[in-house]
Amino acid sequence: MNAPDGIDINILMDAACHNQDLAAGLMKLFFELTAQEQTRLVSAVEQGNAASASAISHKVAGSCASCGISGLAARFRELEHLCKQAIPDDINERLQTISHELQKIRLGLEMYFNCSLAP
Amino acid sequence: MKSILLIDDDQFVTTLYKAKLQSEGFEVNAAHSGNEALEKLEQSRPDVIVLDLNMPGITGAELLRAIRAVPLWQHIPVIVFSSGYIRSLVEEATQLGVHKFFAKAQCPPKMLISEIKELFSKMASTESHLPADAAALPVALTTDDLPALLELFTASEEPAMLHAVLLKIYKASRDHISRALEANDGTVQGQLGHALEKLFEDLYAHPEHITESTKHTLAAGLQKLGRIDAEKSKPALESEMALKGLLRSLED
Repeated sequence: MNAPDGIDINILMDAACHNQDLAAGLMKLFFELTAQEQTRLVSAVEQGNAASASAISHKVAGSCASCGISGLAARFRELEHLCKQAIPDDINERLQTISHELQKIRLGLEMYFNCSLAP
Repeated sequence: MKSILLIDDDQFVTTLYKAKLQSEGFEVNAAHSGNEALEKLEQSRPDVIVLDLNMPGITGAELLRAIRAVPLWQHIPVIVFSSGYIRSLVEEATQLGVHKFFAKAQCPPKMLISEIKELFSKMASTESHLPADAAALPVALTTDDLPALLELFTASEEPAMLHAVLLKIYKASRDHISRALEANDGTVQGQLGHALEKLFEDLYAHPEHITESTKHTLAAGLQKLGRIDAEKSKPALESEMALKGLLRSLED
């Protein structure tokens, strides 16, 4: 089975002690918690709360980096820094890109682990 | 088994690292806020703390300040593991004593684990020789000597003197502490015994850091342990005396 795009599967499998079930369980938790954070992020953006948007982005960036999703971690980190000043004008495009990438990674991992990781 | 307290508001990060560290044979507890971390610390003292700096509520740096203010926790090595570099937090944490900083983005789990293992191996090589030193001390000391020794300890200021007196206090309090360590961990006596054992080790390894507050903590802890011990042995003594009285009356 080919490794899915957008995630360094070696980092994930190493973190999960090379246990496929544990890795799948961890990623299910990741998508569940990230979906909650995305909802909070959208809400912070709608309320114009840049500080909260920055803090949420910071947290998700850390989660992404921990399981080998470095591309998305970089996107969240960029958003975190931008939101320290103000919510960027292209925030909707950014959030859409992030959602799209997350979905792509989830589908790739579902194929890889042969199970559903939907939150 | 060496124990680690993971403090991070991100539940995914703690779940991931807990699983990984447990598979390496460590005992791992996780806390998701500063307050929860303080509660876990009260329950048991970990050998190492892995701390996220940027948390809502009490920040990692504020938590570290609170940890360093408690004598029993002040020498616990802390590894900061944070996803962002917030200069003010890093500077504050550095001043409070941090073993190492890691950025989550640049640190795959195996890097953190290898650092923790290295730290434990360093700790083992420099671990306190207190029990061996106390056993080798050519003086017989008992709990009866404790009040005078504690008085001397409280009055001493030179690290070398404190180190020497501490060794004698340790030897004199062995009976109390050994009984406490044999007691169930869930009992006040058991918890106090473990806490005092750690405190002895920390103070013996770092006599230069002994403060008035640490002296007071040690003395108060030993006094309390002595009282618990005395209370526990009371029924046995009373029944022994009652039995002796009964035997005497039978002989008469």
